[in-house]
Amino acid sequence: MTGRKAVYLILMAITAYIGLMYDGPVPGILLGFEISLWFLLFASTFYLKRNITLSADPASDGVVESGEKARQMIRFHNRGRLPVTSADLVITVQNRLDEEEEEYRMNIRCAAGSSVRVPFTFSSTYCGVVRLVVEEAGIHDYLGLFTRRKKLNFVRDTVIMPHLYELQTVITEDSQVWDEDAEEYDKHHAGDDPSEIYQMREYRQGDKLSRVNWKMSARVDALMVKELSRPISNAVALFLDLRYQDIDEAQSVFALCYSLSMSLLDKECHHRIIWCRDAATLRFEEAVVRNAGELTEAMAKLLTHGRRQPILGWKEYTQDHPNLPFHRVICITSMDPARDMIEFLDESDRLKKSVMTIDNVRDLIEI
Amino acid sequence: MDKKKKEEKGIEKGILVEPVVTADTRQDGGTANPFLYPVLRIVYLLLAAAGFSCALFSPLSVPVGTAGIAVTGAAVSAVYASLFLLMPKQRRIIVPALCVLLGVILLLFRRQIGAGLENIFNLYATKMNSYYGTHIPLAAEQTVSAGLQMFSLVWILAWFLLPMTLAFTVWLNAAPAAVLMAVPAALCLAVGTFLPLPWVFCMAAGLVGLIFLQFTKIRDPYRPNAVLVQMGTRSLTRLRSQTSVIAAVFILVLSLLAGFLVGPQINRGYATQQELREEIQSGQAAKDLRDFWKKLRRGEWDWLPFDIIRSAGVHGGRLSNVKEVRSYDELDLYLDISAELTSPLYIRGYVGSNYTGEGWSGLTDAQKEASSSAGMDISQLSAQYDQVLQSLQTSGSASVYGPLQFVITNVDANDRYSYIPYGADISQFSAGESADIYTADITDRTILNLLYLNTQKLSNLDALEQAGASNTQDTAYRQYVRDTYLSVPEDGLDQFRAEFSGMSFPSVADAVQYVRTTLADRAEYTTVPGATPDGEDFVEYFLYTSQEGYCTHFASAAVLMFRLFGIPARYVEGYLTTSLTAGNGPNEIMDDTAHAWAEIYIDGAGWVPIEVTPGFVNEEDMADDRQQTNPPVAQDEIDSMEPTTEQQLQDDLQQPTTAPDPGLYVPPTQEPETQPQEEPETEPHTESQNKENQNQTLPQPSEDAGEDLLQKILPWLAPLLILLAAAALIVLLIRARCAHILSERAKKYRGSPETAVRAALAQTEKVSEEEGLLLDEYTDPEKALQKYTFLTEDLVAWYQSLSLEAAFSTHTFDEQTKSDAVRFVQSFTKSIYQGRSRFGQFVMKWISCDL
Repeated sequence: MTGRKAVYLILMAITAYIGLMYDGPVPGILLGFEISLWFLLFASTFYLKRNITLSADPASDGVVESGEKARQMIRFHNRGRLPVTSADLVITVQNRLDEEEEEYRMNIRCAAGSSVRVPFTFSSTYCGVVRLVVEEAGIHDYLGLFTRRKKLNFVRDTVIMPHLYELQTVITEDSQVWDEDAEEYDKHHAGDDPSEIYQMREYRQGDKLSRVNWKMSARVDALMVKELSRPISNAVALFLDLRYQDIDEAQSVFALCYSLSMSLLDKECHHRIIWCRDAATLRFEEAVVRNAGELTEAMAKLLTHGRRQPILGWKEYTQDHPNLPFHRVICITSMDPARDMIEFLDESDRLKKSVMTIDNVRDLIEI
Repeated sequence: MDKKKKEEKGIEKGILVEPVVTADTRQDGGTANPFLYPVLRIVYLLLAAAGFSCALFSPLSVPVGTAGIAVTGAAVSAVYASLFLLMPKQRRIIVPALCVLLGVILLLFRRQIGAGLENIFNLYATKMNSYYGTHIPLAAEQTVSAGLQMFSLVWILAWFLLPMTLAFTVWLNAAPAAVLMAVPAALCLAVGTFLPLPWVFCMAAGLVGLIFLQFTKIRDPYRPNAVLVQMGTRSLTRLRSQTSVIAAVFILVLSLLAGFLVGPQINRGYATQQELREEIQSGQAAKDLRDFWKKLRRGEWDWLPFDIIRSAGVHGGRLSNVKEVRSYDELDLYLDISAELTSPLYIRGYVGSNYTGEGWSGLTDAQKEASSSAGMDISQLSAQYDQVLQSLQTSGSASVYGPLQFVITNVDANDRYSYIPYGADISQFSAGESADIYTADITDRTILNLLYLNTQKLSNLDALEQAGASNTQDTAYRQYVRDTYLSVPEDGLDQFRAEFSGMSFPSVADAVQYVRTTLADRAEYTTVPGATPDGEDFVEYFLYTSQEGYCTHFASAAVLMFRLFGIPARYVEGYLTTSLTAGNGPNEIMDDTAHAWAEIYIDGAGWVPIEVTPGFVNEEDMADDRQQTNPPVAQDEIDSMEPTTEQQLQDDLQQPTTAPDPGLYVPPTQEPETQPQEEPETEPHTESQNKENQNQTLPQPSEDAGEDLLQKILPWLAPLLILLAAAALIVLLIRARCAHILSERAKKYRGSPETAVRAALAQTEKVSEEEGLLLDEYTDPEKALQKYTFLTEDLVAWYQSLSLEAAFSTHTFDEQTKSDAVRFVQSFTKSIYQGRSRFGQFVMKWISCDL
């Protein structure tokens, strides 16, 4: 830009000099032409800047699986009457996990009164939340002499899910059902929890007489039995160890969490995922996972907030939550279980614990 | 892998961005007129070509007329531009074929072309010579008929230069090539060839349109981390159509603005700059620029906040910040004189009236006003001094030589001042701002008369004092002089005042003798005295602390001493010559003859120079040649003496005195007694007489050296321009080649997966081979990892597997593989590029065209 301006100014200086030396009207008018063009182009940048907007197109990908390409559709709209022949977007891409940024430049051209939808396509080796930021756009005039910057503050996040391993899991009855107060009850199976009624049905041979609902039976003139519900949640918790050393270890933790969680969902084992969000304030995040949607949500939250922590946080969590709402906990870690998980494996509580690392991803996991 | 290892291997952050994307414009409303863009583009080309043709033919005075120019340029450019527009793939054949064809034609018509080019050169050179006053030699006449010359040249120019320039413009779509089309017009205008306004406007309009359209291309597609956005055909056509129309609107608006508003105002402004044009043409502007640079270099600007090394010359003003004075052996003045002179001649330049503690300044406004009502201005002072000298000459009481004629030419001296010897007859000139100090340029190249008296001799001072005593025409002026030129600042000179106040002397000569002796005893002469420290007075520091200085120090101290003695004095800078010849051309007054001295006012006579710096004139001149010297006497001692009676005075006057030493070199053809008495002129020469004398006796002043410089530069200009043009052409060709190669490669990458993968592999092999280790399916992975540290084992394994597949398998590649391969080769190339030296990067980018 500076080079072009310099060339143009030199051109004007040469024309001015020729005008001084030449006895006639031609150079003066040429110089007038050049000066007028300079100001006209300068003025045009104001108009161009005012009429451009940037937005995200609905066709953008919010969540993509590992290894897939993510596409953020940037919609560049020019509502003015002058075409934009050159607009530079500086796009900053950052994986929120490692906080390192990379800048890309995109030159866009857009006719007057139209839009251009530009796919910013990328793929990430690592899972995480990839943030795409367009802070400003530089609008150039038709000769590239002037640039006007427009603040856009366009931010879009794409969640890159971790790799999904095929885990062999076996869910024990204990983990499936837990006779403590539950937040949810099995919709498909009856149990013995009197807190909730599973269903009312006709009497069958073998049913306990104490289960007969006499009022309803009198109403319908048939023996009706109430079936009690079966609590199915809160049995299992996945506790994440975020003391990873680098992004590769982080990947393994997240991938294991995701894979195990998916495997549990496949076995209809509702569970929760817990991690330490901030060791300084001892703040923990918990996400209850009952379906794929909640899992995605939980993973998005984890990938956004799952920064490296200096502590495991298990002791602090148990102190903070004396009445743990689960009895089976699996700690997913990238550390050495024998050396670094002593705190977790302390058997003073009544929980059933196990540690999972990337090394035992092929093992049969009994929960 | 831990972080450190990752950093060592330079692996990217894990996010890989697609470098090429296609914009989705399906939702883009609006239609595109497919004809608007190409039609307008051709129109702009035609306009530019017409202007170009006119500018090319005008100097040749080819009688083709308006229609002829338009048709010739437009037709040829349209043909060639269309060729390149319509058949882009055949450019590789067409361009070399055209070059060969034109080369053959050039060979066949080389005589005519050579003659024609020389003709053009002569045309331009003649115009340069008449426009700028240069003396460019013209090419020799050719025997080929002018008509054939012109025809051949026009033909060659029309069929070669014009379309090739336009072809570059169209093919490269590059703004620089388009701007080249303006060169002939610029040349024409620069040498004053008439160009019709409509054609020039056509050219400007065409260029604007072409450059507007050029910027619809993707800008800087190969810069690092660029994401290329490709637009669909329909959208691109729409954009280009709109831009074409916008260019037309711009041109129309600009034409109106330039033609009716801005342009006429500028031309009106130009009409008032006739003087500036003449200055440029005469070389005066260039001289002013050189002077400006010289002033900066020579430290003439005393407002600079630091100590300076001053060049020898007349500067005036602040003196205390000068730590050294240096001569650069530069010629400052020419002085032609009609007879030899071997006595010191003082040429006055700058006059300092008020002492500031750091140097000297001129008269204040109040003082200037007082001087104009003082009754005597420079012409009257000159006449007065002339009269006194003539009376001395007539009476023989002092050796006055003249009248001589002289001319001073200012070559490179400070042009703020005039340079006038004492005794010059300037009575016909009027005063400047201050009546008794001339600032107007009144001596440059003007013949003036001179009566010369060596005022360094004390006896001559006595004679002047005595002769002036009887002259009363300067009574009012004397009062002014005493009011103005006796002032000494109250602050900062305590020691000085304590020593020299209250002294008085019987005569001026006595005072002069005392001052010379005192200064010679107190201080030593040096050109490196060092600057005066802040807070110190310039004269006091010189006299009592450093006790060394050069002429400005001595002169400043002397002036203040004279003032304290009651003798009006001024500080003067100028030139001092001790020997002047006549009849051998002008005397060169170099910068090392610049000097400072004191100037005192002798009542009834005028201002005379007094040398006070030891060693600057010969001892004979400085010696006391009077009968006796009178030591300084304190005022109270004088008061206590008996007043001299008339008888005593008469007795003194009757004492025999020694004859005054003429102190002049007597020319060998004349005896001292026969000094030009037969032409004792009591009236100054008239202007016409002066001019006659100039023609008869004096050589003409030499010409300005500035024009010679231009003539020296010009023979080098042509080869330099050719070299520059060649360099520009080479750069353009290199750029075009690289653009073509990269474009072809990018096409392959966008092609089918097979083509793209194979192209990517081939490129990787090429780059790696240039790097020193070929990376293919047979390369040892260990060696590859050692050489290319940014690669991982997995990547190498993947690449080699892909290479094998490409080489031997019938397996077809998918889009993912294509994308991976393209991404790999780009990352690989970029990593190699970043690891290279600057020269290596240049080779990779512009010679190998790998990036």
